Amino acid sequence: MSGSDGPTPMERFIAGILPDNPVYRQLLGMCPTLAVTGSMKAAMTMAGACAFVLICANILISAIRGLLKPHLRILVFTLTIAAFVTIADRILAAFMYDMSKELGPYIPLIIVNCLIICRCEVCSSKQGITTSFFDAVGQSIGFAIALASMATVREILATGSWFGQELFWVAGTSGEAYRWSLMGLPPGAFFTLGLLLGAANLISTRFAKKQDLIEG
Amino acid sequence: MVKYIKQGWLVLTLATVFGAALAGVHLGLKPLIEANKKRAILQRVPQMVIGYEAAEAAKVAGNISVKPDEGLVEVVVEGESARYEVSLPVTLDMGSSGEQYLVYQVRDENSNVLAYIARVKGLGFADVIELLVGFSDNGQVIRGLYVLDQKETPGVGNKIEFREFAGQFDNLPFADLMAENVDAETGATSGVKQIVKVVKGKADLSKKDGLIDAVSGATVSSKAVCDIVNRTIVACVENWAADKISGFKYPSDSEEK
Repeated sequence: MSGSDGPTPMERFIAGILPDNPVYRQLLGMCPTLAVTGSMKAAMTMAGACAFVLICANILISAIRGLLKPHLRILVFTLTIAAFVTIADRILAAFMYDMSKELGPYIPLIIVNCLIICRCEVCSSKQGITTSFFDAVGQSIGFAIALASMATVREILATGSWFGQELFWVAGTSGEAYRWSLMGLPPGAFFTLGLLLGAANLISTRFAKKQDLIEG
Repeated sequence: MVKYIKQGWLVLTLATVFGAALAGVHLGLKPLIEANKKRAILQRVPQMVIGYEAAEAAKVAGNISVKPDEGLVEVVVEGESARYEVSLPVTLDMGSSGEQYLVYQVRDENSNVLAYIARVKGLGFADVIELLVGFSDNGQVIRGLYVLDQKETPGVGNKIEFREFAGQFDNLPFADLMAENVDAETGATSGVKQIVKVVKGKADLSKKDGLIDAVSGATVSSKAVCDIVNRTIVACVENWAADKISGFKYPSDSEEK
């Protein structure tokens, strides 16, 4: 299943950030996007854990891509991803215990995050280690940007703080007038995701039209 | 057979390598994770001694400090400072099941025993649930409950951590409930003493009669917690009667020597 054709490492890297953003374009990883974006700290921790698993899995799958059998590849992908997720879970429990408790089962649920198995299938099982690495980094940055945008909107509207720090217009007040608690709950997550998806589509459509005009 | 090995050798090799790697990671990080759990236990001591509300107020105000190596917890409540010392754990048997659990003793600066904290595990809906169950110094009242670790369904079973459920165990006297052996919902005789019993929406929260309102949509998780608490109470009562909940050693005792 090896091959040297396909996008270059830089193309993979750039595509993962915005043009092929895992959340806003591919609509993958919806579960953590909705579940852990109530606060920036939780969102960035999740983004970091996903980045670790994605990069490690991509590198390893790419290294053994010549040995993969078509009917067993999904099993190998899942086994690899599960191993790295468990390592990430133990590292979080050891070095970021409070955050590990806050994220709870969402860290083990990275195993079923479609983003990671998708990159294994689309890129790392077909291209070299360097391309797979840059693809993983680009997708990780894109995922982090998506989680950060969701968490920024939700945390500011729900709690009047960002990264746990009260914002200037809330500090010194009781804060009740500035908190929209619905945004911290699941309905708020769906509203925010819908609106940001719409905004991403609008920007993407206008950019495509501009490109079409330029190219004539 | 050879055909199957030729097909699956990569999977078998990866499984072996990953298994070894995970075992190594677990061994390497276990001391750190245990130290974190010990810190979490110490941070829950004020809840078991002075009550949840006072403890949370002190925690929010940043008035709780812990020293895990010395087993010390310092709390400032309404301007008054208190220091609690937590013993090293004693390992006890949980009945005849072969399971074991840990008990810590909490004492004040004058060596007066204030509370006992049992660290217990049991099977929940999704995975193992680990609890801290606080007992009064006379061993007849549950002081409080804290979920140390759980992987129940998010948004449903994980609500066993929330105050609406866990708070029902605060200051719950169980001495009069020890004879109960009947499931409150089905009326069936249960193998596990039903000292605290899960009901659905029928609990009168003003009464401390052992009826625990289940988390809506998470009866299995709620029953799992109650089963763990029941087994803990029975085990503690048996161990107290046999004078096995004794001989606690404190970190400061070894320093003095």
